[in-house]
Amino acid sequence: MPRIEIDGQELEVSAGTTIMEAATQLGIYIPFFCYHPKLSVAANCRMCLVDVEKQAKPLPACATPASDGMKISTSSRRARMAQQGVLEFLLINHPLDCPICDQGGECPLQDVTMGYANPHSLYTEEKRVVEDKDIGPLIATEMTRCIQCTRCVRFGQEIGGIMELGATGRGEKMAIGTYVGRAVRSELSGNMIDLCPVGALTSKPFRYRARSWELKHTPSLCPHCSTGCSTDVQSLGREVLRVTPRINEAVNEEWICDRGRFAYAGLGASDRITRPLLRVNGRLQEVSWAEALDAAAAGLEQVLAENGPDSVSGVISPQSTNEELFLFQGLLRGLGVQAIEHRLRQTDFRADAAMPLYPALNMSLEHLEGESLVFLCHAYPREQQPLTNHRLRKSVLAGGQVWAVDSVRREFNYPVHGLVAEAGQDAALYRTLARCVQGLAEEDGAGLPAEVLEAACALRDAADPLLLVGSGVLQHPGAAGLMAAIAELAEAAGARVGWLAEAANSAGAWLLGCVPGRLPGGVPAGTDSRPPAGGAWDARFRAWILMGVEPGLDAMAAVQARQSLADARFVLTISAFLGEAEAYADVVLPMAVWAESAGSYFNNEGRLQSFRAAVKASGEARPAWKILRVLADHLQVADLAFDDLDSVRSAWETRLGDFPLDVPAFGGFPEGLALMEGAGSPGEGCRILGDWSIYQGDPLVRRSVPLQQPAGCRLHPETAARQGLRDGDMVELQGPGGQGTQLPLALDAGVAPGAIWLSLGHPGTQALGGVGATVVLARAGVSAGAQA
Amino acid sequence: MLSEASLAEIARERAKYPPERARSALLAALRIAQAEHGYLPETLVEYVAGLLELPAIQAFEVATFYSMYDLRPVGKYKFCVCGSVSCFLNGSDGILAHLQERLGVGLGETTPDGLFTIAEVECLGACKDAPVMQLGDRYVETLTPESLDVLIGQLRGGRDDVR
Amino acid sequence: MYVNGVTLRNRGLPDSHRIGVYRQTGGYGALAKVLQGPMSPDQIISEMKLSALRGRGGAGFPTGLKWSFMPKGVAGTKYLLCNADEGEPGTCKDRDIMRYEPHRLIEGMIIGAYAMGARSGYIYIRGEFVEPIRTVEAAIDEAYAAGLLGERILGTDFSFDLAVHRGAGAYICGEETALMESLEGKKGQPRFKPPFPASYGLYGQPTTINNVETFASVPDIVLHGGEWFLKLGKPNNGGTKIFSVTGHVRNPGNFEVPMGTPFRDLLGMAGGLHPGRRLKAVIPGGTSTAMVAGDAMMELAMDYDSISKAGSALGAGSVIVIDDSVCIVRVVERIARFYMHESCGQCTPCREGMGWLWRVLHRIENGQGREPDLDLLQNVGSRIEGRTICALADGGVAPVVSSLRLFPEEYEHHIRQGSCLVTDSRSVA
Ligand SMILES: Cc1cc2nc3c(=O)[nH]c(=O)nc-3n(C[C@H](O)[C@H](O)[C@H](O)COP(=O)(O)O)c2cc1C
Ligand code: SF4
Ligand code: SF4
Ligand code: FES
Ligand code: FES
Repeated sequence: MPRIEIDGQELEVSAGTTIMEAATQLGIYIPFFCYHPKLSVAANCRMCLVDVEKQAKPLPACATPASDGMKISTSSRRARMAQQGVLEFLLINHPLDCPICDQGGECPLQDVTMGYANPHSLYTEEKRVVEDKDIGPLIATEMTRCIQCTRCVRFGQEIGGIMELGATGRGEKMAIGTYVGRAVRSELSGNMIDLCPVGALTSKPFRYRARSWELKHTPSLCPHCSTGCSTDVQSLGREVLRVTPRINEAVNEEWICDRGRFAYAGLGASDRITRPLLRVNGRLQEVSWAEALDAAAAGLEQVLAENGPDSVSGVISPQSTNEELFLFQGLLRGLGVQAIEHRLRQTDFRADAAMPLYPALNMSLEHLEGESLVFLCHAYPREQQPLTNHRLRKSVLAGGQVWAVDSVRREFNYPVHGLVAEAGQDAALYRTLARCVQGLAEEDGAGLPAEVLEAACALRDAADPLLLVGSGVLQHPGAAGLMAAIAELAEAAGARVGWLAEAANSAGAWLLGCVPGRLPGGVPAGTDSRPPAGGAWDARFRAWILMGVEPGLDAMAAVQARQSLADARFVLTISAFLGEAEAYADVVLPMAVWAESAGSYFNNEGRLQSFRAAVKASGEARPAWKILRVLADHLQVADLAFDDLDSVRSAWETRLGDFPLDVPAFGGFPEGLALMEGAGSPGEGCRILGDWSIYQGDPLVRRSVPLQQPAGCRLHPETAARQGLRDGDMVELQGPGGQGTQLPLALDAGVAPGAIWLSLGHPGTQALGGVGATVVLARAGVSAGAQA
Repeated sequence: MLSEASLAEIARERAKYPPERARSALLAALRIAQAEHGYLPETLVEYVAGLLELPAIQAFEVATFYSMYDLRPVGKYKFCVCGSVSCFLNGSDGILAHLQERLGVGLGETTPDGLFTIAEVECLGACKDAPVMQLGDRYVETLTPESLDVLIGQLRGGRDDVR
Repeated sequence: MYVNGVTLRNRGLPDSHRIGVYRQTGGYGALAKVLQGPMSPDQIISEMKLSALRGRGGAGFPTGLKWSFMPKGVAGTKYLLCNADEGEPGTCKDRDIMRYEPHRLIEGMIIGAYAMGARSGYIYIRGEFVEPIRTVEAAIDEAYAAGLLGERILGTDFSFDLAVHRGAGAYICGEETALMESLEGKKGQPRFKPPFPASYGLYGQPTTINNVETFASVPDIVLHGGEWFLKLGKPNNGGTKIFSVTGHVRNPGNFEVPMGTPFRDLLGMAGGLHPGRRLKAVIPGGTSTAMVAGDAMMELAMDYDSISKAGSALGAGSVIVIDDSVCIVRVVERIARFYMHESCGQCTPCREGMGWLWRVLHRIENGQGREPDLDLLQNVGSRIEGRTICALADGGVAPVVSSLRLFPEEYEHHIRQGSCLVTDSRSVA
């Protein structure tokens, strides 16, 4: 353990500690630019030079290991001279455009310049101008400001896992850019904005919107996935202008994904509802809250009276807060309604009894980093839970293995062993794996693909493997059979199982009873409360209460949902955006959206986190919990008359009681569960596969213009060839209802032959019938590429 | 994008390094690709990166860092005249001036017939033979205006085995 | 005097690059002595230490000591690299060794690999050296064919593979860690040290790197003993060394002479100055070393210690002779351009400072100098020196600062009169 002295203070550090780290421990500040605790040490900016006794030259604190007896001075004359000298070099080619630079006020270069610069620059030569590059809709570049610290480049290689930015050229011509001006695609790209110590990389959507010091900062949570990253919502007046990560080592370290960072741009969507709407003579009209609430209560009461509570279905977004979820189910159950649902993307509910108390990761995110063998079961955390994925990436970099079993080969940002099921043979693949793991000793597994055997061997030989169940399982038309097969595999392999919960508060939705058949705390609600075959959209229902959802885009059974809602007697929509509700809602109540309201979430670990409102709600929009409370009042539902959010929270906390963070991943499966696979043979059409892409998964993010990417479809090259289709062709797809849509085609050998991959959540793709349905394809047009 | 022969040559280079070190062959692969195409258009850089399973930007970084890669078309004969100190002391500036005058193009430019490009480069490691230039695979040493005139004439006449 | 007797001994023979000629003149005898003698790795290293051979790549680090740093009994491959990037202006000796004596280099590397337990090696040759590359590659093929490389060399348990890695045009790749990066297929950007190559080198494995001439000196040291080599030169400056004498001399060339040979004699070998010229300055070790005034140089001996006592460095033995026909400002401006062009760009002081120095020099040279410029050059130089990852930047400052000290009047004339104190009468055109 080396003992060292920095600026007269003594300290013992562990071997390998750098001078910079030691100084940080002592609270001594050494100026730096290229150094970043989460990145490799580049030691290129030379700003951190310090004076070490008996050393001929000043040494970079960020790269120099402290060795026993070192006497370091961070501010001796020699250290100061070195730091000043470096700073002068950094400034000679830096434009002095701070007044128009978005980094102004939060710029390390500006700060260090205040503290260290020699006020009189000796530089009189012409300044360098670097050509700017368009690297996509999220990051604005001003490359003349770049100080070549390479933090952004190292981020891509070391954290983002895909290298998109590079430093080209050499010497003073060295410049940062993408490959020939290509757009950055990494789902973590926005972090480079935070990392850039100058205004070379700034947020494009934020560009010139405000000066940093004018912004109000509100600590918040990201509402877009079950990781639950800590964010800082920055606003000016009523407008959210920027979202950045807050450091939370246990959850998101200091990163967030681009969805969490840029989804706020959807807040100002043109279909934002700011006043209650009521359908009068077939058209929605703005009305007062009193009128709207009366109409909502009357409409519901009428259906309840005439068709009974079993004719009402309540669907709430799993992005809702615990408080909202608790009130929602309380209101509906108070009305005698049993059909309460948050699982928009699920269609097979036969194994509801086997679902855990809540979809729990069953471990901490940090521990994920230390896993040695992880099997992702129909999970794509890179897009669904990007910062959870980051922990898995770290496990791989540390020598662990990740296998991805799925119906399609996904692109990961770390090496993954992929295992792709043949079209419609997903459960069968898990069963085969289970059999191999059990029987490998005796049976040689002849006839099985080598990768299946390899996967089975890996599982069999692993000391303590982990299966992570992803949303692709629940989205599968035979979800129940798939779950059962995964349970079998877990049993055979002696593996631990965790769930990768789908949405920001899927956990809360389960824990607080927003599923049919379970009350808050997972208490069974009675035998008659299993969902009907058609789920929340079953034809049995006559009225719907929808909160924060757009079933036509959010539901797997979107076709059915649209039909049911169109045929409904009464639909009450509580939402921030009008969207498709225009077509079917009878009453629309405008709710405050994330950032305008407060509440709490359970993340995937079961970690309870809460957040405050950052800005006032738009127009007459009200926090959803208040809307539910007032509705309860109007509908005379007792026990929900809470005065404030805290009392809602105490109420659900009391109902929920203590619960274990780690829960059994599966309960009992019903006997004789059919796998429900193998539908659709390639001859008649293609079986749909698909997922909501990272920027399409909820009403807010899909309204964020800078994040939007067009819908498309992908086919195995063989399938395409059989249909006479080529890469880039526009393909005409015919769904079951005959609705057609046109999508550009990309060839992808990672899609099983006979299947078609669709980006879900787009109006066109949602009309086609969902995963497992069959579509017929034809060439719609000729692409430019095909003509050439 | 590359001929069988080039691909085979890249494979030979690849074999020099440990199996998990494909990136080591990047410099060679770019050189071989350039030899076949005369220069490295962007699509070719990306193609080479793909051959070695590297991100395109990594190949682009390398292609722009080293001075022997040409990212723009150059003439059939590229006169890389050393302008570093020993050659300078022996008249390299005069050699370059002479070349520009004779060929009617400036530094970094190519004659309209596509035959010649003039470039000034840094020390070629042959300082005792100053002034020196690199011409393709070989060096031409102790240059004089007269020897250059002879050389240019021979190259124009289609002979490129000149020393 | 022992002239051209070690690394360039066969230079004059026809086909000296072929294995047959090399063998006929005793080549691979040292390897046989090592493997069949046998000599233990430790014995070899102690002979190397005794020889006082210092690295010929420029830094002059004692080779035997360097070899002893290589860790023993570590997991994974250890690597041995030869630095044949030869790119510093004035340096042109390794090219001749590779053209005329490739087997001497290869033999030296095989012995080194044996001494340090390296299983694999690369010769990093600058990409422009296409002919030397072909010669060395052909020699490697010959050595493989003769069982001198590859598995079980000369029937022993010792195996060593060797290949050429071509550079692609970047002086900085001569810096040893930049060379390793380049060998890994990256940009040649030097690594911060520590860790040093002996623990973390190529592919993160223990690695030793030496210059071509260093390796080519090894066979004779092994054959005749370290003592013999030491005595060719001076204490602490063992052996002979190639000096590339270039610039304003009548007969420029590579001369391999004993360490400590007077500069005066070396100049004579190179044919002396052109008629009627006066010696103005000498850069004794390549452009990265400080200039020495002509008169002072005439009194110096060519060895590491003597030259460094005179405030410069022997470097790679690249002696650049400058006579009174040229303006020193022009020479230095030209040298500064080299460093601006060759800076890898990662360190702030080098990336920004090299261009700054050149721009000021360029202004002065073009008659747009200002009085404070001389102080400015000193000032900028002092902010660069000692503050970068590698020594390129220091090398770029040395000629500027030393010339300012030695020839202030030439600079001042430029600034005040806007023209050269000397008119360059030698330019060819
Ligand atoms: C900028 C720079 C360029 C260098 N170029 C070369 C070179 O071309 N050849 C060489 O052998 N050493 C060169 N060196 C020195 C090497 O870093 C290293 O010290 C040398 O290869 C070690 O070999 P040696 O001990 O046999 O001299 C250079 C060093 C620097 C800082
Ligand atoms: S763009 Fe920013 S982060 Fe990237 S190298 Fe330049 S200054 Fe550093
Ligand atoms: S000193 Fe110059 S050449 Fe050396 S590493 Fe730094 S920037 Fe690169
Ligand atoms: S912070 Fe240490 S060199 Fe950049
Ligand atoms: S200076 Fe021209 S070859 Fe070295």
